[in-house]
Amino acid sequence: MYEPSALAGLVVTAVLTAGLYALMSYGLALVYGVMKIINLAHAGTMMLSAFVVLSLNRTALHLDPVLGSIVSAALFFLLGMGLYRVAVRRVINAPPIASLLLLFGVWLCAQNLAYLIWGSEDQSIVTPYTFTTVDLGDLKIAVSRLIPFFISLVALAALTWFLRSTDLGKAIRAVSQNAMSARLVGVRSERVATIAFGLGSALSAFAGGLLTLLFSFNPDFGGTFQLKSFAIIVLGGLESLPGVALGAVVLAVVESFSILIPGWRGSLVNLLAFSMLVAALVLLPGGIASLLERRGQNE
Amino acid sequence: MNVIRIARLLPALVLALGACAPAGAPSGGGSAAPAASEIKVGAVLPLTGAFSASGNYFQQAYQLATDEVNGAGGLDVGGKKLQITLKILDDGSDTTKSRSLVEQLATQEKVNVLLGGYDTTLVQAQQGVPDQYKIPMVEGGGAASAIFTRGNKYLFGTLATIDDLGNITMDFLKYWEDQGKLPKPLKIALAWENTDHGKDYQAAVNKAAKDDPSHFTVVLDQSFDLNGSDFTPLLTQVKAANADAFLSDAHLPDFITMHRQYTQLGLKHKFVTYGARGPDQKGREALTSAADYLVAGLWWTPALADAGSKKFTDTWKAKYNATPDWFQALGYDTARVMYAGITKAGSLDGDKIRDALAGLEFTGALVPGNKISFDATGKPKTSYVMTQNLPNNEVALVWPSSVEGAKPATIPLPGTG
Amino acid sequence: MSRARLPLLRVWLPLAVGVAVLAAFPALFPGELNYIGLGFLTFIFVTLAVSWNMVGGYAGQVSFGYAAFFGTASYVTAILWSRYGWPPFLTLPLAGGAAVIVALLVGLPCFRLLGPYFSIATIGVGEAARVLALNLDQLTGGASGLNLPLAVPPKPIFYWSGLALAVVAIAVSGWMRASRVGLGLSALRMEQDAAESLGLNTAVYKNLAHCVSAFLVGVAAGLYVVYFSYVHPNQVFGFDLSIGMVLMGVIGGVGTLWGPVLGAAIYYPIRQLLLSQSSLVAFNLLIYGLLLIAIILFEPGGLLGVVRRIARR
Repeated sequence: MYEPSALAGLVVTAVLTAGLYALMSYGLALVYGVMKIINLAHAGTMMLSAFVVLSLNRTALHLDPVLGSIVSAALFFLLGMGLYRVAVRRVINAPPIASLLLLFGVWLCAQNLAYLIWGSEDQSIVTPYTFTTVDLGDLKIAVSRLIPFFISLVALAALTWFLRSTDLGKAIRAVSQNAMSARLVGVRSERVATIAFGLGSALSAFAGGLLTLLFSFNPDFGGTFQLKSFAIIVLGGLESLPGVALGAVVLAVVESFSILIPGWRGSLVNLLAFSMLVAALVLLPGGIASLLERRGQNE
Repeated sequence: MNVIRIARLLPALVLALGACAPAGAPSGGGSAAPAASEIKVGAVLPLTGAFSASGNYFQQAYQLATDEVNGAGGLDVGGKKLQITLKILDDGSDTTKSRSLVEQLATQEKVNVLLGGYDTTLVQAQQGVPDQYKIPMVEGGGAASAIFTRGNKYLFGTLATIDDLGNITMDFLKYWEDQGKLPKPLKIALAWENTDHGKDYQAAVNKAAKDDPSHFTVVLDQSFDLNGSDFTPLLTQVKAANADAFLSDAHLPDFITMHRQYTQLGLKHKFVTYGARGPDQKGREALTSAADYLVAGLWWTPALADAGSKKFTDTWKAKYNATPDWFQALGYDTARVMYAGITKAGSLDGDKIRDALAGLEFTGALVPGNKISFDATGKPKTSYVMTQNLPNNEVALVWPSSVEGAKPATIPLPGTG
Repeated sequence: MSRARLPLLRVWLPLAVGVAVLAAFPALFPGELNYIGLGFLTFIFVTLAVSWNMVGGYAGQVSFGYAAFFGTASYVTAILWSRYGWPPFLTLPLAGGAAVIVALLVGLPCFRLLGPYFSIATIGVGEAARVLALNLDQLTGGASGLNLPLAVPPKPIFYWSGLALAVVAIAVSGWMRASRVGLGLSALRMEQDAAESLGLNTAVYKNLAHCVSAFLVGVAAGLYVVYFSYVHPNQVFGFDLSIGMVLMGVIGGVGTLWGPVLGAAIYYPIRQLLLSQSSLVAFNLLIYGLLLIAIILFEPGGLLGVVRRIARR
């Protein structure tokens, strides 16, 4: 029933979706790594950013969503740092519930703000390349899916370079590994955390902006993606960026190929992410990577 | 100890609550009702949350119908012209809130009649209230056939149910098969949203295929999640099914995303429909020429050529500077049916209005056929009109052929012959 | 006055008077159906908040997955009532029992997780349960929900049942706090490792509190479903419901006996008020968001903390 080209199509779908999933999870992983909090405002940031990109696209500027996402990321870098200074900073050392609920409150405010500014209608952006495809024989690949995929790869490389090779990046890594000793060796952890939260928000905003290439959105946008991102960073071991990419690939492959299961209902697809989230937490506290490492040690 | 302090506060709090409760509703109690000087109409709509876009259309439509009546001096009730006060509350698309706010309208605002909410699940949450308080409700936002199977006496719908959308689509396809324009039997790939809406549609399509295997075979029957976001795996399955026709039932955001991905994957079928989606302006803007030739089954469309629909479209455009869609038209019809029922009853008594509505034949309606009446379960005896998108943002009426201005559809779709 | 007589006069008597006044309300104002309905729902939410607090507050295990208990119990009541003709109120113990089973299934693996990991896992559990319920059409009616009989007992019956349930929940919560279980829970909240090194089997304590609270939530869910005579997975398994329980606890004062009561008594009626004021509708999420942010930043003790501060002056 499935011709080789259809199966190849599924593989391509899974890979492209993985890129998208990874892109929308980097910010979450970065923030978790540095300050051990889960940014529940992530969905709100993605949604607001989608509307910012829409506005940049609709006004006289007619900015392309990709460029718009860069502008929006810069904007949310500043907003994220502001949010950290004003609020998040105060709950870093409180029980985890405090930061979760604080950021949930921010998400509620973001939703309401979007209603007030843009209204509640479903919005979408059309670009000149919305329906453009790259044809590989029988296989058609949409440009609007290739763009986020490649950006995701570039972002992974750039972030890895940034964390490994720049002073600021090294400081971020130091804080994320051990905040106390980082402070002892003179890292200004407050400043580092501020920048890391700004960067995390910028990454969320960047992803949110790029999602407009593919999806329509309204002020409720982002919730499901946020839960998938949780599953991805947990699968990836919560802190490492390559781990995030790995988690994204696993989730995307499982989701894409689930339709081959006889009798499978497509509407069950989100069950996969949620049950993988729970299973990974309970069975694989270090993420999939730890499984591979353990294997490596045994051999 | 803190417990002590709280315990001491509690009776005071309770007394205060008890004291202010009746004060908050001075109209309560058993005193004889004064002669009514106004008609209180209540509605609970999703003005925020998941269904807010449609909820706001309904709000505007209820308001327009009410303003028109009030502007003309009021509604005739037993020879007296009464002004209508419309009270609309927001349930935030949440079923619990929806239900309790309708109860609040019934018990505290003491509304005379209720207009319904939007989306089947919210209507289902509300539908216990009309019968419990004997306050009639007309709703134009819930289309699942299950609504009319619960034995309500005070609930009336204006929205033809979704199983009939499936039925009219299958009748349409059968006609084109018999014309020799579509293969017989037609291989159908069916994708349905896992909601009440989608399940009604799926059931109707499957039933038609089972009853008439010489015309239809369903080669794929797959569900997807509301706001499901990524449909590529599903569409890969559709591609592998090698069907002649693609039938999907989706809400607007899923319609846009799914049909974009459909087009990007290079899928083609001799017939494509997304249920009630197709001519929506939002959809056409988002899909541009990819939306051309899609066929839709609708409760109403601005393409309808009858005088009433034309006038409504013009009025709406002048007032809200937007082209109305079926939501607005059905909201407008819903309120007007209720007002016609009140006038027919000649009284604000709930039972009398109920009886009037049950026997009402409303003739100025916008829906196809321009008539609304109800069967014994409160289900409307109305139908759909089918449209086909044409290039340059035009919409053709294509079915039933009896509808004013109907033209033959372009079947099979261009480029698939 | 001797200290021993204090609790009777200063705690129990005023409480009894309070409950009696609340119980008398439907009899004194039988026409106020709106307030009777509002009262019933408030009692249900009080029960939910107080129950959630046993695990989320006393034990410090913040769960975002209580909708899984609420939803399962809802369907047990709905199915026994509509398909097997049980009198609806007789289904309540079974609804509670079903919630306990789910609580064990969730708790046994997930309580091995600490802090935020437990919280994230419960989000996954709650949402997975919702997706399952949406797709198990034979059992739950799937996305169509289940339409239940429209004929239900009169409003005051619900009001009194809800009140009784809330009183029981508060009593259980008070007992738990004062008992050895409560001490164990607060020990493990402070320092899990230390509690275990002192020979405390923390898993037993956590699961016990989880099961007790799930039972109460299950009974509340059963009552709620009978009241609405309609059940849909997105309603009874909804994430909003789980988050609502957390919010009520936090707004009122997490980990205290009366905080969640206060939180629920304010959360539900105020939401209803906000939604029925057309001028405030557009701001309703903003108001909640800001309230939440303000409480987290300035008064982690919640509104009860504010009340105490004022009372201390």
